[in-house]
Amino acid sequence: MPRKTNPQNGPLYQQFFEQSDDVMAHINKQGIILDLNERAETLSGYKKKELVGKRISRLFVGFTSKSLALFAANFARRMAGKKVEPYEVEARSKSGQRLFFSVNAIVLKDEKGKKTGELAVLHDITSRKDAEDKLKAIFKSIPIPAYLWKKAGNDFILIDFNEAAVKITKGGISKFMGIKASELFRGTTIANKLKGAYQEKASRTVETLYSFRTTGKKLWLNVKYAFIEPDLMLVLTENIDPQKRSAQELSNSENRYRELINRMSNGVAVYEANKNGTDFIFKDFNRAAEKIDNISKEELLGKSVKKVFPGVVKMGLFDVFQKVWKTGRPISHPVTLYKDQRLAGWRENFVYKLPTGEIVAIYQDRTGEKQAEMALRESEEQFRSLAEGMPDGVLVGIDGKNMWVNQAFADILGYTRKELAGMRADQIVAPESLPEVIKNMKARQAGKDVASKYEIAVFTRSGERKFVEVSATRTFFEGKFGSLVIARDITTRKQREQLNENLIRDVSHSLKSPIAILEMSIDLLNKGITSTDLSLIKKSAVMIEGNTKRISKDVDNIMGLYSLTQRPSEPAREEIFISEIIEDILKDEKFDMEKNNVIAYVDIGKDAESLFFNKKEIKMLLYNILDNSIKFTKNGTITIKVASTDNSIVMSFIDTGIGIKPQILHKVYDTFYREDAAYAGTGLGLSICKAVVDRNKGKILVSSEGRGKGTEVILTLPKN
Amino acid sequence: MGKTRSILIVEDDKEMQEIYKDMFKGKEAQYKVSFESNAEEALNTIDKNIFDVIILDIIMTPMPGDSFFVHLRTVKKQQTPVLVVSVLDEDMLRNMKEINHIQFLQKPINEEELFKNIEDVIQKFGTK
Repeated sequence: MPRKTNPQNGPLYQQFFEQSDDVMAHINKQGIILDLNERAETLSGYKKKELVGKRISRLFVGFTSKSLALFAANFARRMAGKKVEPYEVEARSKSGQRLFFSVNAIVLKDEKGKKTGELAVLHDITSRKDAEDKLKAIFKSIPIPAYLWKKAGNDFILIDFNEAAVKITKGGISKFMGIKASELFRGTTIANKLKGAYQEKASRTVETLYSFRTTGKKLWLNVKYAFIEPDLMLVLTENIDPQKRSAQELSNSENRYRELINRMSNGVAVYEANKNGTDFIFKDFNRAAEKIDNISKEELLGKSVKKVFPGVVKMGLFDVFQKVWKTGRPISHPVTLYKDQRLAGWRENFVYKLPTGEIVAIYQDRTGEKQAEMALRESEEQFRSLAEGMPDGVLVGIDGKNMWVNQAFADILGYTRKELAGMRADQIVAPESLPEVIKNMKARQAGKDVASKYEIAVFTRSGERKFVEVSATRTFFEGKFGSLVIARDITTRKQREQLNENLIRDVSHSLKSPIAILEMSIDLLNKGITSTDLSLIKKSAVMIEGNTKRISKDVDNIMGLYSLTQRPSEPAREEIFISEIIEDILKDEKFDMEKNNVIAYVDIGKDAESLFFNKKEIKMLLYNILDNSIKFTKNGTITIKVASTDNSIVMSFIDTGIGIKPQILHKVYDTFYREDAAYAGTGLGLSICKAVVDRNKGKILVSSEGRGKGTEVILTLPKN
Repeated sequence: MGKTRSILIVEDDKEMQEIYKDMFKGKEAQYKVSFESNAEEALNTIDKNIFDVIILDIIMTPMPGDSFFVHLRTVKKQQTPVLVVSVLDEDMLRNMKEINHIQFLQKPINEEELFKNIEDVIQKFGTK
């Protein structure tokens, strides 16, 4: 049915006006409806005639007040010549149906260009609004906290949030409605992320550890930034804290573990078995390992151990890998030389299997130690060969035990080297020297300097006492600190020193006694002269004579011994008649023989009358033997027998004197030199005898059956 | 004084014995002197007799004076004062000093010295 339209409008306009899907209303300057299209009737539920001449607000009874105000304001602005963007209004139809419109308008003018009113175009957006509402409901009710931000200049403003957001912020979010993102998220990257996602017009998901302003709680959130046309950003924050935390902790502990391994001074290599354990592939390699093997982790990850370290098979480590991998039991691989074309070094490995199946090798570079050890061994070898050839005794002792001795050392002590090894110092060193030895040993072990040379007494295997000059230093032998001892046998020197000492003592004693008596005899003589006691004068004169002779004899002896020891050249020999010599001596000893009441018997056998000898020496020899006999015999006899054998003259001197205790006898006999016979005054005489006999390749034997049973001296002298 | 001192002289040298005899000549009222020329025999003598002082030589055979002295003090447990008369000086007899009641006199000696020392050693160590 044809509709009556505004007569001002032409037929084309009429057609457009009537057939439009949008509501169209012709309004005059006062907002009075002049015309309406069919669509307006349909949606509003009112007839055209009911509305024309009425105010536009009547078009939809249910225009909300907000919508009406908006409509009025925009109409006024348009009439004032301002541009107005489309805007939305809400209304209700006559039947009460909710309607939404997007409002636009065309300003109408007369021929003179004067504004007469407008043509309002209301585009029905109710269905879109419904969808929006549904979305909003979803937004509000989803259990994931959601926030809606609206672009505002260079920033965003919070325009909405849902129940879940209220819950998670414990209501705090309500206070932030309308807040700027840059303000709310100050100090975080969130505002930037919002902006970024907005610019890309895309959505992005970021895991963030977020610290809530309202509760102070920190949570791991999976934050989704979604762009919504035209200017909105939907931010969904899913709480992933529990998973994230455990994952984070796992990763932390993994990092810590990795850091630990990296910081280890031992090399650590992790392998994965390949091709059923016929090869092993690098899975990890720590810094120490990189340093030890001079290779970077990147160079070998994922590669076969055989390819990177071709020497591993020959070294035996590859077998160890296979064994560990098969059995699951850890194996220590001792210090072994690893060698390939790239590098060589000594390695000590410990290999075990992880529960996850990988093989771990923990290893150390032992090259330095090994080289030092080898150098040490080499120096030890050198030491041994050097020490072997040394004429002095060499001993290496650790903790008071002999570790090693050379042949010369064994020779000094009369032990075999085998016997000496493992023997302790106290088994060799004489008790009086032991404290010094131990003290020095301990000082050396404590790294102190001790006197480098000192003399000690030792016992040989046969119990003989020897003197040894020891120089010792601290040494390192077979991995331990000990003493390196160089020992020189100074027994002979010591004996000579002792001899000299004894000699001086004997000489002075043997001179002192007669001189003392001489002095006292002179006192006696003076007393006799003063008291004109002739018998006292005679007595003292005899004593003066006898002791003067004795002193003279002793001096002869001393000089004789001196010449014997200091001038060892061949003595001049002549034919000596033994009986003559003995007679001379007995004549000289007459005084002592009478004093001690000793009688001498002399028996010279056939062919024993004479021998070739140095006269001085034979006199000294026989004098000292006889002098001793006379000195130690009281009221007894001395029997002198001289006999001849093929090559020798044998003389025996048997007295009935005090004799010698058997236990002292052997000492006296083999210790002429050093036995302390000081008080007996015998040292000098016996020293002379021994010196003469030795010089002439003869023998002297002193024997006694014991105390009080006399002494026998047998003298054997070669004829030529 | 007044009391007669009983003295044992242990000296193996006959001449020294003679010299002692001359020194004690004319002093029989004050000193009763016995001689032993062997230290071992002297040890028997001191078992049977009590002496106020023992004059001891050191260089003797077969038993030296110092052995006699040690024996006297440790085995016989006798504290008789001992006057050691020897050519050896005191320093050489150091170990004897450690055992008490002893005095040293070095040869040669004269009468004056001898009697002064005899009285001295009895004063110091003798039983009054």
